[in-house]
Amino acid sequence: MRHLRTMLLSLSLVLLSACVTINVYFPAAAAEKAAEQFIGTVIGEAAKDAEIKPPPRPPQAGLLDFFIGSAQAAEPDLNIQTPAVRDIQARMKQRFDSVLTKALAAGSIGLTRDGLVAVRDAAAVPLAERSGLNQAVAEENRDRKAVYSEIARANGHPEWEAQIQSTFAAQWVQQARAGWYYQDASGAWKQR
Amino acid sequence: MSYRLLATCIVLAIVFCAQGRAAGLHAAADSLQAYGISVKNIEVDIGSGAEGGHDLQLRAAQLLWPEFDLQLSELHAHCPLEPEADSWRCAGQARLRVAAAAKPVEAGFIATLEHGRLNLQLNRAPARLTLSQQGDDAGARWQLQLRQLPLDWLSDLLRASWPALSRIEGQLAVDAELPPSATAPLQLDYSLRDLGFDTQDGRSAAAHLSLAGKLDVTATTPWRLHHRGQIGGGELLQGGLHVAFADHGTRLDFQLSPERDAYRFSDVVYDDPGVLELKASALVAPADDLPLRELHVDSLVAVLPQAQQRYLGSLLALAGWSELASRGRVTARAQFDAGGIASAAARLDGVDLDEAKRGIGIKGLAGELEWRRTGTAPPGQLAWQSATVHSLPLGAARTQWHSHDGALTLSQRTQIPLLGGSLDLERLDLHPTAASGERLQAGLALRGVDLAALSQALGWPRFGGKLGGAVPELRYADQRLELTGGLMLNVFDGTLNVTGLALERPFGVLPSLSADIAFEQLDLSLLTGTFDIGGITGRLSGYVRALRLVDWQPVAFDAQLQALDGGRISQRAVNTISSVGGGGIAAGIQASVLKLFDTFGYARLGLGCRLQNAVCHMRGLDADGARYTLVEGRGLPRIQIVGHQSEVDWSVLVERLKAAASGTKPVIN
Repeated sequence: MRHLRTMLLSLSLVLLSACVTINVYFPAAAAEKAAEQFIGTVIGEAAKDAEIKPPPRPPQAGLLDFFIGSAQAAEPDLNIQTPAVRDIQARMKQRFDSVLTKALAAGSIGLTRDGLVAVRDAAAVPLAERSGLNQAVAEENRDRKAVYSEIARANGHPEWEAQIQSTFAAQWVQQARAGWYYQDASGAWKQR
Repeated sequence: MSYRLLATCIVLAIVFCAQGRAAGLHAAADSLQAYGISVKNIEVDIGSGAEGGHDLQLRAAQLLWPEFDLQLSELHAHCPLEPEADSWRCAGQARLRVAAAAKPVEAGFIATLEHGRLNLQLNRAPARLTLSQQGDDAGARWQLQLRQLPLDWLSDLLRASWPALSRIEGQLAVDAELPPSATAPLQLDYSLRDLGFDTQDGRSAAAHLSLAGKLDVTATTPWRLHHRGQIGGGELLQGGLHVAFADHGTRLDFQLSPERDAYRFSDVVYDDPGVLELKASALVAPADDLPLRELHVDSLVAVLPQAQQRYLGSLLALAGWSELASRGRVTARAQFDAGGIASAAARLDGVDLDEAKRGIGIKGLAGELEWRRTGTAPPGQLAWQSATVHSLPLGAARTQWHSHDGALTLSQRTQIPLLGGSLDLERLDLHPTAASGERLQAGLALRGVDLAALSQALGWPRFGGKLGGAVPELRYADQRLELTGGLMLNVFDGTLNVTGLALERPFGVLPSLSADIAFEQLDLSLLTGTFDIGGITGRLSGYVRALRLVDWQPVAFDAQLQALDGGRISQRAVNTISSVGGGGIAAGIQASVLKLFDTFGYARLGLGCRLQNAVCHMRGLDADGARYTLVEGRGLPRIQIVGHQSEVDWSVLVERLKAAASGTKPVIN
């Protein structure tokens, strides 16, 4: 009996929330998929074996893309492939390859709980490189904030920014390589 | 901090000397005071040693020097006394504890007493300390020479006053003549070579720093220290500030004395010739969260770009301005206290700033500005010869300013020439200490800007007209610049209104612009002539709502363009519109017949696109689901252009329009 009541209650809650949030429902699964793909490209050969690359998009294939896209879009799709975001993604990948991957592996920087990066142990970095690392972290965070904000706006929902940011935050940790540091929900550093 | 070790050695030597003359005796003293130093439970033994010689033993339970918070215990020295002609020599080992729990520190020593003058040398590789007595008995002076003292020996002592210190390296050398009395000033020459340190959080650090100079120490209460020295190369990191010093010639002078629980730096002079000269004073409390309690910058002269490269490069890079180019000279003064910045004044001479990547720059910036948190500051002025904002050239202007109770205010309306017209600063208030959304308040107006010049500057097809408008209120918060009011463009013989303007990250990553545009009665023949897509006559009205440009590329809008009063349309324009609609269907007419005519009459023309997720959702004058009418013909031959692609990829649409404008045959999917 108690089980049934709980079930009925949860069901009605689900129905209620579905009613209320119709049209502004955050596409969590789509966001996660988008974040997974975006981050996979930036990090490179991530926890997964193969490098994930977004499919190339020749100009003439636009319409085809659309129809395939609409067929899959059982829930609202989350588009993150604006040219500007792609440029940032390429820049982030380059920064990862040249600076951040090394610093993450050394533990001098870590992934924060809000989807950014932070200097964790500056003292582990030789002084000559510290200023450069600080700069790379600042640039990376500027790019990430712009990406989160832009994805929300490009999809017509600026209010999604915080959710997108936390979706990305979870994905960064998900795809972090062994040994990288990340912040748990309380902000404490942990190691993958 | 080196005083602590220095003091220890001095006292050891003095005690040793006093007892050296009392050969063959056992002497003890409960305490002995000199130079503000007290030594407790002193015992001296001179007894028989090996081979008939004499052995000297010296013990002291404790040595205190409260002025420097120094406490040494279990001092012990032992050596065989060797008589030589007119002198004594004693070479042995000495030992002491720096802290009660610490391991004893040992050092070898050689003491010689010649004509009543003592020379003491302490050796502990690689360091060497020599103390020698000079002059006659009446005016004995002590000469001290310290060489190659590794600074990490002092790390425990240094950590006591700077707990965050995790590592220190480098070598210290000191030359000093000890004063005849405790109150007389101590003068010493020192040099620090290869100084490096780091803190636990890594925010303060240095490497390969060289420092040399003179110190005058007055051991009065409170003590006072006067430093005159030079920095000779090395690098220093403090938070976001990273400085690589010049190898030679950077002067650093200051006076230092304790003030309650803090330290007062006064008469600070920092002079990096030809780069930066600073005169300041400060109150620093190392134990506080924000150690800098007070800072008075009496004068700061910076020569650009040298000062930017050496001192500001790292901070600018953190803020994303690493490619800023600068020139000129800036003189400034400022005061900071517990409440933050209290006043600031700057004088600029021939300053040029340029950030080519963002298209931002200003040339010939000159003037004087002063701001105060409370009260009124003398009026100032600021002028420039030219400026560039996102590639738009602004002309020369002279602005007048005044400061009252924390606001820096533009005193009078200023016209800045812009492309044949002007950008008028109606009002401008800066509140540097206000909350982030309230630091800037401004009202602007644009008058008579020449659209031909504007379109050229922005790299658009050239079109004539004038641009004007008013932005009575401008707000900036969270990297978002909002402009109330609107702009009006008198263009193509009609009007175009832009409202709801907002810029996000205007100078940052992905600058984006939002706006709503509405237009009325634009002359289509002028418009189509400009964009070269085939001629159409008539009047165009419509809107582009919720326009959003990211990195100056459109990513979203809802646009409707329509000409409802009819006109004529050329064959080429028919092709263009057909290609946009995606089909090229001219209903009821064979293509071959179409070719016979140059223009056609039309009754209504309408085209709409809602851009979202890189896809344009098309519409025309009407829609019945799959098809929509773009052009409704009139007269004979009657044409009807119908679109039947309701969604078109934006990049494809742009390609088609470009192809239409360049005259090549459009690619139709």
